[in-house]
Amino acid sequence: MVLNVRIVKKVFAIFCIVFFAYSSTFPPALASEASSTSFYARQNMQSVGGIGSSTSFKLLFGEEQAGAGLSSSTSFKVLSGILRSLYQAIAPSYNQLHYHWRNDDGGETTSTSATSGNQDTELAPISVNTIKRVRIEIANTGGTIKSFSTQQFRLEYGLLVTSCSAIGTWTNVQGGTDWSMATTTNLVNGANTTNIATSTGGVTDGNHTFLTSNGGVRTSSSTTGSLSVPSDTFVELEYGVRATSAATDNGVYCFRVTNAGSATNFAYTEYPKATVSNSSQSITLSFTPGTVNLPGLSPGVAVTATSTLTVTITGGTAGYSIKINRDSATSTLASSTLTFPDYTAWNPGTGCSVGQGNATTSPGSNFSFRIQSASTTASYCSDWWGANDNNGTALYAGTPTSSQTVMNCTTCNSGSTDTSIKYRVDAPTSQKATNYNGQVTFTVLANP
Amino acid sequence: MNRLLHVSKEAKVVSLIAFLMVAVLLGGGSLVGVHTALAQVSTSTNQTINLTVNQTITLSLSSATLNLSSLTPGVPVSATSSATVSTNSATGWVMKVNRVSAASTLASSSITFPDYTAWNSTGNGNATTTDLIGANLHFRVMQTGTAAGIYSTTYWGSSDTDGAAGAKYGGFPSSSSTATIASTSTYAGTSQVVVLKVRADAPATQQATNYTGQITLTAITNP
Repeated sequence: MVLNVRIVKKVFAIFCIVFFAYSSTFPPALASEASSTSFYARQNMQSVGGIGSSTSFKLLFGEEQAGAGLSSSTSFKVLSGILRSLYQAIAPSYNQLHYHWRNDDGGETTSTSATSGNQDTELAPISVNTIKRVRIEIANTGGTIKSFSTQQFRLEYGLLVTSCSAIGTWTNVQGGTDWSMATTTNLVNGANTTNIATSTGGVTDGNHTFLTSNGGVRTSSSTTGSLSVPSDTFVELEYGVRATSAATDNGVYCFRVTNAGSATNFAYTEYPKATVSNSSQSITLSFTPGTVNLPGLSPGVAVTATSTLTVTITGGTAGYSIKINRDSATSTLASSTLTFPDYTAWNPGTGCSVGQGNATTSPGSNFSFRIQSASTTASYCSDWWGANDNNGTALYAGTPTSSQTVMNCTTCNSGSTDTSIKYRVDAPTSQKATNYNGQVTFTVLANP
Repeated sequence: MNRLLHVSKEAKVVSLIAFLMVAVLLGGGSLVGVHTALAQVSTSTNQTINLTVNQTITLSLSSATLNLSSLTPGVPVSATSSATVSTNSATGWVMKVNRVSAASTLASSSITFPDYTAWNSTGNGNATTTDLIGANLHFRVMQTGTAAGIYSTTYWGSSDTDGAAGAKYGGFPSSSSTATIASTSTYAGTSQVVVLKVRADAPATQQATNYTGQITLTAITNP
C-alpha cells in the first residue's frame, strides 16, 4: 500500500511535469477576457478579441499583428507582432541617438554643419559668445503602453570630468551660468524642425516616423512644448546656444535632453560635446574679388570697381575695426617708376560722427576709395562716407600711408559681416597710358 | 597788274583716339589670402589693384583758318599755323596731312591752283628746296616753334631759311597714307606743338581771283 502510494505520487509528479511542459509548449487559446491582477494575457496565433479592463496588465497582440509600417532603413527596425512583444519595451524609451553641431549661418534648412557634415562629432573649441546650434535626435525606441505621456524636451549641460554619463549635475541651458540659449535672426523660437540631410547638419533617422509638428527649434527657450512621441517615432530638436564668459576655459561640456528636468525613460546613446576656449578670439578676413581690376580708364571719364571684405569673428567682446593703408609710400598705383596720383589721404578724425573725416564728393583726377552703404552689412558710417552711394553725396578719400580706420563695429562679436569698398579712379589727360597696379592692406583688429 | 590772291585755308581738326589695351590684366574673382588666427586679435592681408589707362589724343590748331596774303605771281607768300598735340600715349604719335580735294588744294570754282608734287614720307621724303620748287602751293614743318624732337631735318631741311641749302617743301597729298609730317615715339607728358608753314607762288597766267580749300591734319597715337 505504501508502495502504491509512492507509485501514485511518482505518476502524479510525472503527469504534472508533462502537463506543464505541454501547456508551456502548446498553450491553448486564451479566454477573451481576463480579470487577474497577476498575469498578462498572451495569445500566440490569434488576436485577442476581448478588452482588458485591469489597470495592472495589458493585452498584447499575437504574431500575426500587422506592423505599423515598413522600413528599409538600416538604422532602425520596426517591430510588430510577437517580435514587438518580445523585444520592445512597453514603456517609452526616449533615446538621445544622434546629434550634429551646426553653424549659425542660415535658416533651419540652410545653415551649414560645424563639423564638416559629420554627425556625432565633438565641436572644435569655440570662443565664448559664439552662437552654435546643436541638433539632437530623440527617438522613442520603446512603447506607448506603459508610462507614456507627452514630453517637454529640455536641453541641459554638464561639465565633463570622466564621462558624460557620469556627470552628476546637469543644468538647464536656459538661465545657465556657463551656457545660455542664443537668439539668432536665423531661427524662430518654436518653429518646427525638418528632417534635413546629415550633410547640412541633420542626423540619421533613428526610427520610422519623423514627428513633423514639433516646435523643436529653440533659441530663447530651452524647453519644447508638450510633445507626444509614440513608438517608432523620432523628433529632431535644434537649440541655439552659446558659452558664456563664466564657462570653464578649455572645459569640455556635455549636453542632454530631458523631460523638463526628468531623465525617466530617457536613454543616451550620444552626448553632444563642446570645448570652450573662453580666452581666445578669432578673426578672418577675405576679399571678393581678391584682385580688383578697374575698367580701362580714358582720362576724364572716371571708372570704379568694388570689392567686398568679409570679416568673421568669434569670441569678440567689443567688436572689431577695419583699417586701410597703401603699401607704397609713393603712391597706391604705379607703373615702374611712374606714379598714379592719389587723393588726399584718409583721416578719420576722432571717429564716426558729424564733421569727422576728410572725404570729399569730388576727388578729381586721381585714385580714391570709399566704403559703400550698399552691401555693407554692419556699421556703415554715413558721417564718414556720405548719406548714400549716389554721385554728389558719396564721399571719397585717398589711401593713407599709415593705417587708418574705415569701419568700426562695436557690436560685431561673432559671425560674419561684409564691408563693401569702392575704388574710384580718374586721370589727368597727360597721365601716361599704360598699366598701373599696386596694393592696399586691410587690417582687422578686435576691439579691446 | 595787281593781282589779289586770297588764299584761305580751313584746317579741319581730326583727332583719333586709339584705345590700346597694352597688357593683359590678371583675372579677378579669386579669394585672396584668408588669415585665421585663433587666440589672436588681428589679421591683415593685401589686396592688389590693377588699372589700365587708355590712350587719348587731341589736336588743336592756333587758327581754324589760315589766310595767305595777296599773291603777286613771282613773289611767293607764306603763313604759319600751329598744331598742338596733347596725348598720354606711352609710345608717341604721328601727324599726317592731306588735302580734302582730289583735284587741288586750292580752287576757285572750277579753276584750280597748282600744287607741288605730293609729299611722300617714304624714306627721307620727297620735299625740295625753294630754288627748285616752282610756282605752286606747298608746305613744310618749321623747325622754329616745333617741339624738340619732333622736327625732322631729313624731311624738312637743315633750317627754316628758304633757299638752295635750307628749307624743304612738299605738296599737299591727296591721301594721308604716306603723308606723315611729324612724329615721336616717346611719352612727353605735355602738349607738343608742330608749326606748319604754307607757302604759295603762282605762274603769271594764274587767274586773279580768290582761291580757297581745305586740308586735314590727323594725329594718331602709336600702337
